[in-house]
Amino acid sequence: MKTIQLNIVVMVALFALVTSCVKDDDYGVPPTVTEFSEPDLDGIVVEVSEVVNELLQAQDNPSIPYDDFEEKVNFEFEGTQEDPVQYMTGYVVSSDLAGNFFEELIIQDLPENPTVGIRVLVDQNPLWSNFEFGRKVYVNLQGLSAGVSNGVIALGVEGAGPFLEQIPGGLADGEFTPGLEEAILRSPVVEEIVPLDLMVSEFADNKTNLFIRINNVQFNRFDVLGDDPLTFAGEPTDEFDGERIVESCDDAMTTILATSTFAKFKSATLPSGSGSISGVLTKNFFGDEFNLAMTSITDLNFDSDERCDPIEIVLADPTNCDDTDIAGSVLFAEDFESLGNLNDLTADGWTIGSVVASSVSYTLGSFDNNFYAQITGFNSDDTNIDSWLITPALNLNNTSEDELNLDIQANFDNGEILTILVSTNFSGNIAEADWSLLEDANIPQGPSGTFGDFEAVGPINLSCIDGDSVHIAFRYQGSDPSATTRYHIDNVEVSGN
Amino acid sequence: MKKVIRGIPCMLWVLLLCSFLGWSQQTGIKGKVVDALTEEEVPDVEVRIENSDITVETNGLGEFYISGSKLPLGEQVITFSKLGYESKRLTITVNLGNILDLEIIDLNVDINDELLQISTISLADNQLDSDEDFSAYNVSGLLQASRDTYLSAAAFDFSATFFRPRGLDNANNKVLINGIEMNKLFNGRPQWSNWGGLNDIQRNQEFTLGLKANEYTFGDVGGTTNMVMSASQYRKGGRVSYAASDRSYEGRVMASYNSGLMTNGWAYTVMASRRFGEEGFKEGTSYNANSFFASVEKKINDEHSLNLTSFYTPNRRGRATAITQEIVDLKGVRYNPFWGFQDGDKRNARMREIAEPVFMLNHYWNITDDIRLNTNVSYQTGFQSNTRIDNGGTTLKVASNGEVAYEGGARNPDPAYYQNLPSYFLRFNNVSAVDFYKAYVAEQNFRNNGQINWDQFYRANINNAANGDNSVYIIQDDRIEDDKITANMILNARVNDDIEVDASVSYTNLISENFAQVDDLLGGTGFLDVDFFAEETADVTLDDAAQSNLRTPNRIVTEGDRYKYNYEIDATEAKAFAQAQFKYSLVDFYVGGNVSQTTYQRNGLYENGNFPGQLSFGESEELEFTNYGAKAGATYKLTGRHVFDVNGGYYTKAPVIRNSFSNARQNNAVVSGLESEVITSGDVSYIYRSPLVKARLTGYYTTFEDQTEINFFFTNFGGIGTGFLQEVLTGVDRQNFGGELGIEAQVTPTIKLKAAAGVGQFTYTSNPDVYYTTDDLTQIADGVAQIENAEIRFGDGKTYLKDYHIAGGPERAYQIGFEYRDPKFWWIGTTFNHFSNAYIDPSALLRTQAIGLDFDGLPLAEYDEDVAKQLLRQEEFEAYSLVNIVGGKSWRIDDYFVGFFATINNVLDQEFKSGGFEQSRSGNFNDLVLENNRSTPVFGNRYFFGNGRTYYLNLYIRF
Repeated sequence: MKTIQLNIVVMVALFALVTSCVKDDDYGVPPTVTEFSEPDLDGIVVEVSEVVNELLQAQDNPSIPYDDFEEKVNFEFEGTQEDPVQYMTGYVVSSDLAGNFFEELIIQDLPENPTVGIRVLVDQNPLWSNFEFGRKVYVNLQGLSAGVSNGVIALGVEGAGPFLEQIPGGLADGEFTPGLEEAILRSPVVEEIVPLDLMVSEFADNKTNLFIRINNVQFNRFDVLGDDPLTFAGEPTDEFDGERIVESCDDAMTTILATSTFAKFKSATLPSGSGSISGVLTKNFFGDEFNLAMTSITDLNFDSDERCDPIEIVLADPTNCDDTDIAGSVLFAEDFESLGNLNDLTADGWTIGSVVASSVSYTLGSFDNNFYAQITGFNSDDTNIDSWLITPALNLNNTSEDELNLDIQANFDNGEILTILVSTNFSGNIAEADWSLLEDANIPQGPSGTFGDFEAVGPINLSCIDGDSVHIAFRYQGSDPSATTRYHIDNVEVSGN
Repeated sequence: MKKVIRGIPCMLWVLLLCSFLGWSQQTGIKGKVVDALTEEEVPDVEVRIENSDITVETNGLGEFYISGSKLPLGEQVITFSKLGYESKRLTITVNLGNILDLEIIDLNVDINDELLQISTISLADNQLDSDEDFSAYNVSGLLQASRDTYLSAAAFDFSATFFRPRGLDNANNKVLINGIEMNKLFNGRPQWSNWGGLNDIQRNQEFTLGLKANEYTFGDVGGTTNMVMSASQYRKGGRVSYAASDRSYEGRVMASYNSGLMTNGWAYTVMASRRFGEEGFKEGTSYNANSFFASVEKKINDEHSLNLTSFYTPNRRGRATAITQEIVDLKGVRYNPFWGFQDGDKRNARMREIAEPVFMLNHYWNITDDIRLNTNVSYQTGFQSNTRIDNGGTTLKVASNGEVAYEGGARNPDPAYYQNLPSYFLRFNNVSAVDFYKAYVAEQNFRNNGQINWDQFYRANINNAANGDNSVYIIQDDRIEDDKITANMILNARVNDDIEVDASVSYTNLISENFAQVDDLLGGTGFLDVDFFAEETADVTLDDAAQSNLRTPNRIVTEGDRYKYNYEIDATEAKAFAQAQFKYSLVDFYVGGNVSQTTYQRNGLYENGNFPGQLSFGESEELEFTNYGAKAGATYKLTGRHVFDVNGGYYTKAPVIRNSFSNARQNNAVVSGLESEVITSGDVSYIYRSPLVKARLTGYYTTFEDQTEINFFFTNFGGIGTGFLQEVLTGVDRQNFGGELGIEAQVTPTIKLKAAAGVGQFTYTSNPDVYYTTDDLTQIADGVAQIENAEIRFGDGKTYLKDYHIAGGPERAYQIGFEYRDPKFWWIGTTFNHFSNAYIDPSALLRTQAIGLDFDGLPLAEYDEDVAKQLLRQEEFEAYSLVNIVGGKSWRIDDYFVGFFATINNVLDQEFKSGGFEQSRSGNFNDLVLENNRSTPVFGNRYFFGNGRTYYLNLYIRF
C-alpha cells in the first residue's frame, strides 16, 4: 500500500519535471543579430551626390545657399514615375557613442576620398547601435526633404517653419522605421573610413559632412599652456558646445573644434602639444562658421610635444633719439591712395603679417574718398591678435636728422593697443628680428563709442637710427572683445637731410 | 428563558458545593478525535465547552481530557474544531463525579481547506511580482489561518486588491515557523516566497489577531502567525494535486507524504512541488518555482522530542510594473514593459529569483505536565536576486596626451520610457503639425513594438566588441546573500488552572552581503565598472568620481563578477519577552512586555569614487537601538453569547536596515535624525455567538510616530536638475483608525450567508522632515536648496504630507456572500465585494517648499497657493466591485479521497486600479501647471492594475 502511494508521488514528480519547463534563463545570441544580408530594396539606389544635385535643381539659385539661415529651399523627394522609391546609399561617419553627435547621422559617399556628404536628422537615440561609424546604409528618400540645416546639407522632413525637422520614428528589427515605412536600412558592410586630409585653408562648404583630418595643428597657447588648461567642453561658460581655437602650424589659419557639453570626453583636458585631429567638418549652430566635431576622444592624435607658437617678440630698449626737429626732404611716403587693396603694397616691399594665427589683419579702408590702412579686432572672436604692418626697408645711412610723421585715427577706443616699432635687421620674419619701441610715438586716443578724427602723430625723431634696412612697424595687439580699438593709419612719411 | 435563569444559581450552588467538598470524585470528559476518512488520530483539535471558558487541545494521539472545578454540569454543548476540518458540535450531559468518555469523535475534512491555498498564492505572487515597496500591500494571506468571518473575507476575497486590514504594512505582521520569527531584518517583512509552494505542510497555523496574547512572542499590531512544521504534527497520509490557473502560474504539481508518528517514535514528512508558467495575467511574467520540504522528528520519550525541519523553495519570476493611464489606453492593463521577444521567446529583463533554504532544529521538552520548554535554532542562507538592464556600459578611451574619457552609455531602453510616448511630443503649449505627426509615429511604434528590443542590445554590444569596445547593455543582477542564525527558547508554564506564564528569549545574527553582479553581457566581451553618470567636480576628477571601487580602478568585469557596489550589513537582534495570562470564568486578561537590543553596521567592501576613504570603505558607525514594549488586554464574557474584548499596547521598534542607511549601495552614511518608531494601539471588540449567528464588531485606533522612510528615484526635477536621488523622510507620524464587522448566519444546515465590512481612515499626522542625497550634486541649482553635509533640503526642510491618506489599498471594503453546501459533497459559494477610498501614494518631493521656488531660489511670481493645493490634491481611485465564485466536489473512492475545486475571480472582468504612486518628476509650480494643462501628462501617475477575470482549478487526491 505504502509503496503504491510513494509510487504515485514519484510519478507525479517526474511528470512535473517533464512537462513544466519554463524558458526564463540561459539565452544565447539571437542569430538575426549576427547573420543578416544586404537588405532587399524595393527601389533604386542613388548616390549622395544625386540627392545634392536634385536639391540644387529644385532651387532657383545657381548654388546652394549654405549661409542663408532663415530661408531654406526644402525639396521633397517624390521619386520618378519609373522609380517611385529611391534609396540613398553612403557610409556613416558620425557616432553618438561618445555623445558628441545627437540624433543625426552624417553620411558620406565613399569610405576613402569622399566627395560629398549629407546630414540626416533622425529622432532616435542611440543610433550607433545600428548605424555605427563606417556602416554602409540605405536611406529611403520617400517622404523626406533635403535642405540646408545649420549651414550644411541635410535630409529630414518638412516642418511647419522654414527648418527641416527630424525624421520621427523608432527602431525595430535593426532598422529605423518612421511609423509604417522603412527609412534607414543597414548593409552588412562596415568599411574602414579613411579621413580626408585637409588644410584649414581648404575648408569649404562643399567639404562639410565629410570625415576629415587636419594635420600639424595645436590648441591656442592661452588655452592650454597655463596652470589651468581648458577642457573640451567642461568649462562653466560652455553652453551647448565648447568651442576651442585650433591653430594650423602649416598655414597660420585657425578653426574651431566644437564639442558638445553632452560629449563623454567633455571634461578631458585639451592636449598641449601638436598633431592631427580627425572629425566631421560641419558648421556651428548658426551655420556661419566651420566647426570640426570629433566622434571620439581618440580622433585626437597629438603625438608631438612641439608647438608652433610664435616666438615671443622681445623688444630691445626703446629708442628715443631726442634731437632737434629740422624738417628735411621726404625719403619715403605712403598715402594709401589708388590701391586696389592693401596687399598691393607688398609689391612695394610692405609686409602685412601676424605673429599668431589670427584672422585679424590690416586692410585698406576708405572714407570720404580718402584711403588708409585700417585694423580692428571687433567681432573677430579672436582673443589673441598680434598683427603687423611693416614699411619697406628704408636706407637711413646717408641722411641725418631723420624723422617720421603720420596721421592716426583711433575709433571705438577701448584701449591703446597700437605701437610703432623700428628694426634694423628685419628680413621677412617678424619674430627673428630685433624690434625697438619708438617712445616718441604718442598714439592718439579716440572716442569709445564712435569714430574719431585723424590726428597728426610726430614728428618722431629717427636721427639716432642708422642702417640701410630700417623698417618701421605698426603693431596691433588686441583681444576680442576687450581690446579692439579700431585704428586708421594714413600719410606715413619719413624725411631727412 | 426562565429555565436558564433558574439554572444558573443552581449550577453555582453545585459548584460551591463541589469546591467545599473537594474533589473526592473526579468529574470530566475524555475522548479521542480521529479523521473520519483515514481514521488517523488528529492532534491539536480545539475542544471547547460552549458558554464557558473551557478549552483544551488534543494531544499527539488525538486524545483530550477535560476536568477541573469550572467544568459546568448538566447538558452542555461541546465543539471540536481544527483548521482543515469541519467543526463538530455534540450535546453531552456532564454529571458530577462521572468521567464522560466520548470515545471516538470523527472529524470530516473541510473542503474549504483547499481554498486556503488561494490567498497564499496571491501573497507569494505579489512579493515576487512587484517592486519592493509594494509587496507591503498584500498581507491578507497571513489571515488565512483565521476562522473569523471578517478575516476570511480579507484573506480570500479582498486579497485580489491591495487591501490591508487596519491599513497595516506587512512589517506589522510577525510570521513564525516552529516558534522562530521569519521576518527579514532588512525590511521587517516576512518573505512569503521562502516557503511558497509548500501548501500541504502549512496547515498547522495559529493566528493571533493584533496584540492579543501569543505564547511565542510579543507580536505586532498586525498580528502573529505561527506555522507548526514539525513532522509529528502532520496526519498520516499523502496528497497529490494538480492546479491550473491563469493568474500567476499556469500549472502546479504538488505531492506530499506524512508518516505520522510511528510506533518507534519517529515521524517524517516530505513534500515537493513545482509551479510553472510562461506568463500570468500580466504579459511576460514567467513563473518557475520548485519547492522542497523535509522534516523528521524523533519523540525520544514523553518529555523530549527532537525535530529537524528544512525547506528550500527556489523560485524565479518575471516581474511586471506600474504603468500610466496613457500606457494602459494604448496597450491595456496586461501590458508589461519588462519583456521583449528574443528568438521567439518572451524574455523578461526583470527577473526576481529567491532561493533561501532554511534549516531548523527544534527541541520540545515537557519538563512537567504544566511546563514546556521549546528550544530552537535556525539557519537561513541563500540569495535574493533581481535583474535589470544596465545601459551604462562604457569604454575607457585614452587620448594621446593621457586624458581619459568613458565613451558609451545609452538612453534608458525602457520601451515605455516617457520620451517614447505620444504625450512627450505634445508636451509644449504650441503643438505643430510635425509634433502631431511625431506623436502619431510614436503611438504607432509603441502600439506595434512597445517591448524590449533584445536584438538591439546584442547588436550594439557585438558591434562594440568588433571595435574592441565593451558592452553597453548588460543584465545587472542586484543580489543579497544573507546568512542568518536565530536561536530562541520559549517557555510556557501553567502556574495553576487560571494562570499561564509565557516567556521567550531570542538572538539573531545576520550577515548580509549586497552587491551587483554581471548576469549577462548580451553578446559583448566585458563591462567597464565605472559610473556612467559620474561628473567631474571641483574636488574630484572624472576618472576618480566614476570609480565603483577606487581600489581596482577601471576594472573590466565579466559574467559572474561583482561590480558597481559591494557591501556587507552586520546586524544582531536580542529580544526577551514575558507574558502572563489569567483565565477566569467571567474575565480573561493578560499582560505582556518585551525588551530588545538591535545593532546594525555597514561594512563597505568597495571604495566608491564619489565617497573616498571611510565615507564608503570599511565599517560605518554602529547603530544601536534599545526598544521595549508593553501590552495588556481583557476578554469579558457577559454571557457565552456576548463577549467583549479589549487590547492595548505601547511599544517602540527599531528602524529596519533598509531605512537606516540613506544610500547603502554607495556609502556609509546613516540617516540623520534616525529614531526608533513608537507605536500605540488599542482595539475594542464585541463578539456575538449563537448557534445560528456569529458576529464580531471591532473598533481600533493605532498611531505610529517617528517612522523613517527612504525612497530612490531618478528625477529631472526643475530646481535640482537631473539625477538619481535618495529621499529620506524622518519623523513620519501616522494614525490608523476604523472598524471591522464580520457576520455570518447558518440559515439552513446547507446555506450560510455572510457579510463583512472594513472601514478605516489611514492618514499622515505630521509633516515629516525630508532631505535628499545624490552623487549628481553638481547639477543642483544654487539657491533652491540648502546643502549641508551632502544633504539637500528645500525651504523649511519639511514635506507637507499631513492629512494625506497613506497609500495602501482601499480603506473601505464590503462583502456579502453566500455558501451552499450540499450533503452530497459538493458546494458552491459566491461573494460580492465592493472597494472604495483607495488613494495614490503622494510624492514627498512635490510637497516641499521647492514647489513655490524658481530655479534661482526666489519665490515664483506665478505661485498661487490655492491652485497649488488643487494640483496637489491626492488622487482617489474609483470604487469598484468584484464578484467571485467558488465551488467544488469531492468523492471517496476506496481509500482515496478525490476532489476538485475551482474559483473564478472577478467574474465581471472589472478593470480596477489596486494601487499607484505619483512620479516625483515634474518640478515646481509652473511645471505642475503645465503638466496639468496637458491633455495627457508626460509624467502621469503610475498605477497597479488588478487582475481581470481569472480562474483557478485544483484537482487532488488524498490517501
